[in-house]
Amino acid sequence: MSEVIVETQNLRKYYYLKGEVVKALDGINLKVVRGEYLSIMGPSGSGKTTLFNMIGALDRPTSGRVVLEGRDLSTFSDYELAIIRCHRIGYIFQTFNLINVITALENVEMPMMFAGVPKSERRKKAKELLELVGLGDRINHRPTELSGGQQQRVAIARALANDPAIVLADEPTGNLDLATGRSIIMLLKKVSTERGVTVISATHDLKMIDVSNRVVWIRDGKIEKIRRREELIVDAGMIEGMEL
Amino acid sequence: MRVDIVGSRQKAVAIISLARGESRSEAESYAKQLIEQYRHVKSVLLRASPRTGEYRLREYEVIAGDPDTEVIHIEHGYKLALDPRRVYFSPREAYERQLVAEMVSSGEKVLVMFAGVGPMCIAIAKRRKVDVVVGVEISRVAWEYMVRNIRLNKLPNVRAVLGDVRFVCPFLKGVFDRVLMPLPLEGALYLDLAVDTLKERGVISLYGLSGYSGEELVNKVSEEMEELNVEWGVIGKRRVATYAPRVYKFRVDIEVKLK
Repeated sequence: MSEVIVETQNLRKYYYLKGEVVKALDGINLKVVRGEYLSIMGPSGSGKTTLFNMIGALDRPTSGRVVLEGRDLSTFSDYELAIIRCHRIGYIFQTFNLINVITALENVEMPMMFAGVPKSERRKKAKELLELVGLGDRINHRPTELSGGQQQRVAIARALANDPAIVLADEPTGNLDLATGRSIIMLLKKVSTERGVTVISATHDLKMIDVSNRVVWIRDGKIEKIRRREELIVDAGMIEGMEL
Repeated sequence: MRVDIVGSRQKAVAIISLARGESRSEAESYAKQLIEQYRHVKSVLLRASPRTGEYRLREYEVIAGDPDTEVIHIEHGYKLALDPRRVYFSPREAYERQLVAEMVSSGEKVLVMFAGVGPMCIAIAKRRKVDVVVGVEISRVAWEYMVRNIRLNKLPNVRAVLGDVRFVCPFLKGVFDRVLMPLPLEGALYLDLAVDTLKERGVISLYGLSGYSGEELVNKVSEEMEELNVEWGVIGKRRVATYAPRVYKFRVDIEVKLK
């Protein structure tokens, strides 16, 4: 049986807005296994980004648990969560969030520096990772000298720097054109398959369906449906009916 | 922890923002490593407050290196002199500035309200053969940097105006093809001023805060625009960055035609 890497148990997140309770997440139960590529989809305000933030130890639930590699994150102090974020979770953002005045290589090295990896080791690994994402000949370029797709590739290499248990990708193709977005998705799929990295992506992008092992649809803070890729028939009728 | 670096390969300042659970002593340790690793990083600042006030400034502490934090920031081939402790500037929006510059056509007259040290004005003038770009800024310090940046980049078709848009814009009626309003917290309040500065037809790019879909900002734009006697429509919308949990900075592009 596949190893469960992250699990949410009856996860709830409530906010209080102008005296009203907003149930951003309302009892989410989900298990994600090692090496899985999971897409979280749903209309705006459905709770997918909130779920993403909970799994990424960026926010705490009102009740319920997030268990990452067998450890219940709700029992962790803020300091311990910071350590988890640094060592066990890689993040990819729609807006790349690279530092423009240092090179691609230095951007990839930075999380390793904060994790205490020795200089020679982190340089070697950063080079390997940039080669993995197809930028072996661009390691000394700064982000502003790279295209949007190349910048997102650097961000993927950076996300992998500390050998995370999971990579969280928040709309990774949102800033890219169709063809570049597709190449980024294929790259994420490749690292997921070849390196056994678990990828969880919050997305509106239907191209993600092609590469996802499972797709989770969230609506009103609840899981509306979960489908394995083989269960998905991506045709125009279905897409039209999804209200993405 | 979040790290930004502002500057160039000659001199740069790193800015550390701590996440919940991270301590000042960790920041100091990271600061030391940053200065060792990146030789061009001469100072490290620790973010000590949220942005507040008319000039959108925040408190910083120098936790390592040189207390002189003025730098020449380089992005996409242009230079911006600035001191992150004295003016508002976001290096993370370099890509957005490029996208905005690409929207501008040759020969346009462009107004940038709340122009800061001039990054948007300069990005546009560097990329497009515009007629003129006018930047209006209320902070004297930021305006002085904008003037310096125009010279640094040799862009005679960029003008820097010191003043409050409420008093400057009435002198610029009917002049511009495009108005940019990069003030996310209250830019929408100035839409009437922006409309007045447009020619018969034009585009306003308004920045604002919204939930994931941007709907709240579009609704706010609708409320404000309905008050004005113009034809208008939203022609574009882009989520620019995450501002806070569940809050995003959006750009909404509004086409306006005077009746």
